[in-house]
Amino acid sequence: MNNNISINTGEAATSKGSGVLETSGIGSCLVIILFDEKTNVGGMAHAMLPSRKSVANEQNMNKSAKYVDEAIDILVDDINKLGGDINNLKARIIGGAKMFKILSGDNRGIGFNNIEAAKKKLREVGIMIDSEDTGGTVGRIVKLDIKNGLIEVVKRM
Amino acid sequence: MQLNSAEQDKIKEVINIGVGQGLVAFTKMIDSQIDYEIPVIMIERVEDASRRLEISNTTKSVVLLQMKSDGEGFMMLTFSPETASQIATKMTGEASNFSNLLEMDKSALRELGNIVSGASFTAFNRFLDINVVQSPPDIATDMYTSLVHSILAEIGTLTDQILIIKVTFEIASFNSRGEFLFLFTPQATKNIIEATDRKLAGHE
Repeated sequence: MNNNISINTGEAATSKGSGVLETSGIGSCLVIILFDEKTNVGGMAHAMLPSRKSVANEQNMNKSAKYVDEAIDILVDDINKLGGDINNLKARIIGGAKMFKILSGDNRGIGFNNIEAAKKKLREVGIMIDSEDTGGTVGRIVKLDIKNGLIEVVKRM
Repeated sequence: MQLNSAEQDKIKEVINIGVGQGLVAFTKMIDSQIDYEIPVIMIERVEDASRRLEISNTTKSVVLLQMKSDGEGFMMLTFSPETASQIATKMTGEASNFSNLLEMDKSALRELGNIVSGASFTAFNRFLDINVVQSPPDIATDMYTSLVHSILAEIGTLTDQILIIKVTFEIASFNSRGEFLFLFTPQATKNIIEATDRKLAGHE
């Protein structure tokens, strides 16, 4: 049985015990992975923007994995429902690149802001960042194997 | 944001005029016939746009320009790296390596973007009596999804919904295809439709 779950921008997914979660097209977006190695429960979210305060006129009022801060809330809730423990969770963050110089002008860009938003939110909820593969100017693809918590990051060489 | 069929037709007509002029300039620069298809129009939430466009992780070269003033949004000119390399070779007269575009190649492609978009926006502005201003161009080569998502995130700070217009074209002498992708905010879409209505009213 194929247990691969592919997630798109603005989406999150969780799984317990088995399955491979994957997402691609990570440019300035940030992928947040949370994993509880004691219960083998984990999840992945592909967020585009730091928070809904970043958007001039967001019409959708529901919590959304489009935003880094809300994506982390969604992952924590969903992992909790599957029997994971927030006290055991470790985070990995991937992405936040600056693909084009003209985007965001001279500012560090949305990618940088996404990374900072994730670090701030994870600090607030008490989840430690285990590793990060962030910044730069290249796109990424990432896979998470729920069986063992291993992740694979692919970049264009 | 919603567009009825009459409004979609107005947008297509305006894009046809702009893209037509842009491709005339393109044809002259590379000395090749270029044919293009009818524009395809979509309205989507920013996070759903790439799914709707059915873009893949294939590596592409994208020349990007930001549009400001009356037409806020982005314009992308997309090719395979091989086609980008062929274009650069034609423009510079120097052989180009598609797996490693040199600064001279990138500069030529940025200049292409500048000239093609300049011709397109001049046509838009004259036809509609509006003022769409373009940024200097930029170029990147990477997984197409990563490039598009980064641009969508940027426009996502302005709006949660965008108007997307895709125009596919074929470069005869390279036997290859490319595409224009326009992304407009709802306000820019409204400006274009109102300008079209004023133009039509002026002819009645």
